[in-house]
Amino acid sequence: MLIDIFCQVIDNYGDIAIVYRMARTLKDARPEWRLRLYVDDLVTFEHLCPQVDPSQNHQDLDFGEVYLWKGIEDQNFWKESPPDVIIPFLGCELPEAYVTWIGNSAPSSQALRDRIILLVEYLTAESWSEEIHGLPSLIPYPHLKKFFFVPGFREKSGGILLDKAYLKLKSSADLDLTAFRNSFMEIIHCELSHISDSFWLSIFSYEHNFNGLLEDLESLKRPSLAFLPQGRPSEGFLKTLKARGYTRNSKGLWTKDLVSVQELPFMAQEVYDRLVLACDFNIVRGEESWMRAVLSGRPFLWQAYLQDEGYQLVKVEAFLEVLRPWLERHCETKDVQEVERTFSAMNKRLRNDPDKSLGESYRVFIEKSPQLRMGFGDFASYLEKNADLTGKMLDFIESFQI
Amino acid sequence: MLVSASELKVGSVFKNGNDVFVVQKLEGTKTGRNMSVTNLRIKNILNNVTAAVAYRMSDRFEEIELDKKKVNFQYANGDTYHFMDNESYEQIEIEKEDLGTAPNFMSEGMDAEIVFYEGKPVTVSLPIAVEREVVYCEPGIKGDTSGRAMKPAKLDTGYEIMIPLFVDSGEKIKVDTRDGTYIERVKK
Repeated sequence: MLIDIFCQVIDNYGDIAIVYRMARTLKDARPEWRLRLYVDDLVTFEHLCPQVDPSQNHQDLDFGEVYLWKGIEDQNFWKESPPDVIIPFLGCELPEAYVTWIGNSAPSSQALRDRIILLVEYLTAESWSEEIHGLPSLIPYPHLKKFFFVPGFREKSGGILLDKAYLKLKSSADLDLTAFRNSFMEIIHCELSHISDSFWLSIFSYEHNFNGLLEDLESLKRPSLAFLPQGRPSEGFLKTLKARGYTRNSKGLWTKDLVSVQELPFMAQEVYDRLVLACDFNIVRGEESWMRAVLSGRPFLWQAYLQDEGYQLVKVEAFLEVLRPWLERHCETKDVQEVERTFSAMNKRLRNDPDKSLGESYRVFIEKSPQLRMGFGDFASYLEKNADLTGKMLDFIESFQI
Repeated sequence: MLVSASELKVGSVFKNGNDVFVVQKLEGTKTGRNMSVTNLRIKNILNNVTAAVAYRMSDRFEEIELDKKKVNFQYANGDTYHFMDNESYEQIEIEKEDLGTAPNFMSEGMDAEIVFYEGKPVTVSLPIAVEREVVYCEPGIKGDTSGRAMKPAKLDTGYEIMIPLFVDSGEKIKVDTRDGTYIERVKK
């Protein structure tokens, strides 16, 4: 079986992060399959996967071949063997000539009765993920079929990306959090004494004013340690730290009373995974870090990708509808409502603004952490058992086998 | 003529390979990064098989211009709708499932156009605006003529529609047949 996967890096790191994880997961499930990944930005890819060499237009990684691709304008990138399955991710468009080449190729007699294109859409909790998942998209080739594959949280959707390596790390963190945290601190070369009793959190959002977060942390009577990976929220956050009188040491650690904030350089994917699992609370964004946070079973706050006219709120509300019953099992109604209010407040925006706070309160995530942990944890466990995207994708592809 | 999925509407006819399809139902949805997907129910005109399909808004189709005839809607007998050709007086029957949303706005004696593909009626096209009577709604509120606040109502065809608060049961309204929305109250 030969699979061609396509990724266009539009902005941030989410596109390639998801595709990289998907490729590894597919290869892990089907080691005998051959995978070719076409990506238009190897520099960004290298940030997540240090083994990538941006100067090489073709290279082999552990999961398969990686090719630099110039996008829809690239008219002659395809290789000698037409693939059996073509997977353009996240709205990526394929050149018409490429589709024609595959459409006019006879099906491989050894793999599938028809070649298939799987359009993998953006993850959503909305109900249409069930309506559109698996629907065909007609194209005029007798042996090439095209289908939508919609990742989602609902039963009939495409599921979410369960990555064995990530779940293994999670088991490790759940078993012995102190040891896991110690190991993380070694990886990031950080020496701090107050680990086991600190409230750990990470911030990986879009531009935002986190004055309210710092206020809430400062009002706690226990130490807290916030990790700030380099990226979009950094500049605004650092400005706020200065304004609130934090002092910085030479290793990027800011402190004030019981609150510490550690700057982090950009991290490889596996290191960020460890960060999420080491924390009591994560602020995440977009799709890739959102998925990691959902599967972590730890409480989190999600800032959705900004859409025209604030449409991201529709997606957030759909997600809250799916999450709510799990939180209600363990938390009081007023706390569940507070979580939802914070999600909505974080997403009620028409642009990303580092100077603007949206009136959100973080106290419930701190004060009700144990109860929320049970609710988010149950949700994660349910998804692990019932929403395996890779399994669903393999079933779909293999239903075309001869 | 090539059209994008965003330009398709109920009743559009397009080609895919050797097959010809008419759109019976469609619904758009927004995915991520401001992109959209449209969910369609289509019918193959040649073999009458219907299917649920989806397209990205940027997908393009060869839309087909078909023959049209002016007709008059006579009556409905169950799911079969009877029309008369205004020129030849020929009787033409179309099944309800091929009429899309038109039954929501049609009344006996109404003029329309039937669309044909190779002599076979495939769908009907109505005037853009038709008048229909409101048969049920909550009482209107005098003085609120802004039209911004809406309430649910039912038309004489059974179709449910949102109308301004000031419109009452028994009044006639103009409805946009393209999207089934209220246009204005018909002045007495």
